[in-house]
Amino acid sequence: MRTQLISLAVSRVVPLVLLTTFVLVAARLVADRIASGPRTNRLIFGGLLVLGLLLQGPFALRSFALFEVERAMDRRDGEGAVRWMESFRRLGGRPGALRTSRWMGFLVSRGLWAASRDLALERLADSPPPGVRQGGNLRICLGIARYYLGETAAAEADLRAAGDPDPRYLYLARYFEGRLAERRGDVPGAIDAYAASLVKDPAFRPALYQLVRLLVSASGPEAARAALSRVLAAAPAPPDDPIVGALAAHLAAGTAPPGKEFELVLP
Amino acid sequence: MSFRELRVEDVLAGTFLGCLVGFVGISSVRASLETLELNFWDICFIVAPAALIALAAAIRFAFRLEGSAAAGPAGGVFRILRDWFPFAFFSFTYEAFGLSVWATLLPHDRDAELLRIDRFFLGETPAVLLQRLAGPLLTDVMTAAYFLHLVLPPFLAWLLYRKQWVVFRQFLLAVLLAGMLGQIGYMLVPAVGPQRAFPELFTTTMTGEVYRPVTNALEALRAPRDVFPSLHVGISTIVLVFSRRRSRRLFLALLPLVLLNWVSTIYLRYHYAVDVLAGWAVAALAIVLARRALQLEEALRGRAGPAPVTPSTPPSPGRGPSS
Repeated sequence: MRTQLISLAVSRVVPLVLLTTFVLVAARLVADRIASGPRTNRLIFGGLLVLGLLLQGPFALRSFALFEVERAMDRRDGEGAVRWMESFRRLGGRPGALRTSRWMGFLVSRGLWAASRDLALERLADSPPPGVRQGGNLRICLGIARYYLGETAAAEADLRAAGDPDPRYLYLARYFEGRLAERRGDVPGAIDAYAASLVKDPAFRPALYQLVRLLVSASGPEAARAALSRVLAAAPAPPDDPIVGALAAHLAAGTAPPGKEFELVLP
Repeated sequence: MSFRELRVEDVLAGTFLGCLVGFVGISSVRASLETLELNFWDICFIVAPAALIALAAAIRFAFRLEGSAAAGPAGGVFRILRDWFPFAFFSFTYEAFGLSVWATLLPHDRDAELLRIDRFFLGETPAVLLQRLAGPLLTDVMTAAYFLHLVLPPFLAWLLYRKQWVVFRQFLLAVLLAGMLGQIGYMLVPAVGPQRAFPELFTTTMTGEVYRPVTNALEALRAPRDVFPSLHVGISTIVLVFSRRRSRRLFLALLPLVLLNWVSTIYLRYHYAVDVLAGWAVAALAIVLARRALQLEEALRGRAGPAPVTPSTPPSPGRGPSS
């Protein structure tokens, strides 16, 4: 079993053990205090015990649903994970900031755009606790999901509204601003956005690919070659890097690389 | 609870919590609780023995099994939880160091200075020297040894709680004090460790079957700047010292594990040699302070007269104070 599953099990079983302890003690104390005879005592104790254990039911069920989410994520079963995430939320569970971020990362990486959009919208409806920088990252993830769902205007609004995100997500925000600019036909805007994405993370190859592709068409192979050299100086590529290899081949032939949509794995 | 029932641990925990809230604010503590969501498991792991002992006492009490009446009010359940409280509190305060607000106190990392000290005395930081030995099997062994910091303290506490309650209290108090001293070190000498600060020093990448999943889980728990002193070394030293008070056989059984634990902090590139030395110093200081604090508590109690409830044994039949 993976460490994530073990740690989740530990973090849910120990509170259940403590809750059961309190139920047992409370049931005994109350029964001894208010019962007049042994039969009444037994009845009150039994009733309170059952009631207390039943009250723990929702927590236990939510724990089970959480465990199943993690198990599905562990075996890369996107549909199963979405199903158990919905069960968790139906049972009254509310994933916190870190768990939402983890789930979003999984859903976006599996291309489950509608599920990731719904999860982000649900989380954003809650006000995050002060000090947790979650809103910005979530907005970026929401923008990405909406980009792939074709909700262009909403995606642009989300990416623009992503204030104070985790710096690790900024290159993604800039990249998808570029993709959206291309959809609008704003090639200079797209080139600027891809370049800005590469400033945040020079090793992000999808931005490099799109930048070189647009530069070949807009400014010619020389400009594209110069941009490629600049980025590779900042983030050298291994000899077998397929994206850099494809770009170099196109530049050598003087042709523009074809349009391409990349699959993402979120940090 | 009357004033005379107060313990040193209560005073320390209350003071530390007061300082924490005073410095970072209630909202940041709330944010810290939010970030505990995924990191909650280490606290649960550490308090698991207490939870199981308390459940057993609750079952005895609830079903009126033999011995429960003699264990005190509510079958001694609340006392068990209180006895173990320092462990949970220590874990919580460590998690609170995950807050970025701590970086506002001294914002500059001191890795360069720590590396310079290592190089002055040893020529190079040992983590760099040890990379020559790195291999998947050794890395997995070291990872397992590194993980022992979550296993050994609750294990020893459980052993002591069964037979030597006074030593148990000294042990937990020493752990709590070491945690506080260590956290003061994190604030005053913020550093991230050789692996993160100087990746260019390492020419080999560590791999192993156990290495990646375990270190990923532990990395998620780590406070961002938890290097000087090494609490891995500090707390495992305390475990070793107190295991000797339990029995010589236990000491000899734990000795190789603790030694491996110390080496693993360097091998896995988390610490400089100077952090290890500081960890030993923190352990020594914490043990001395714990003993003094309990002596002071006894003296104050003696001056105030006997406390209304002063059983010095854990709440279970057949246990007596022995240290």
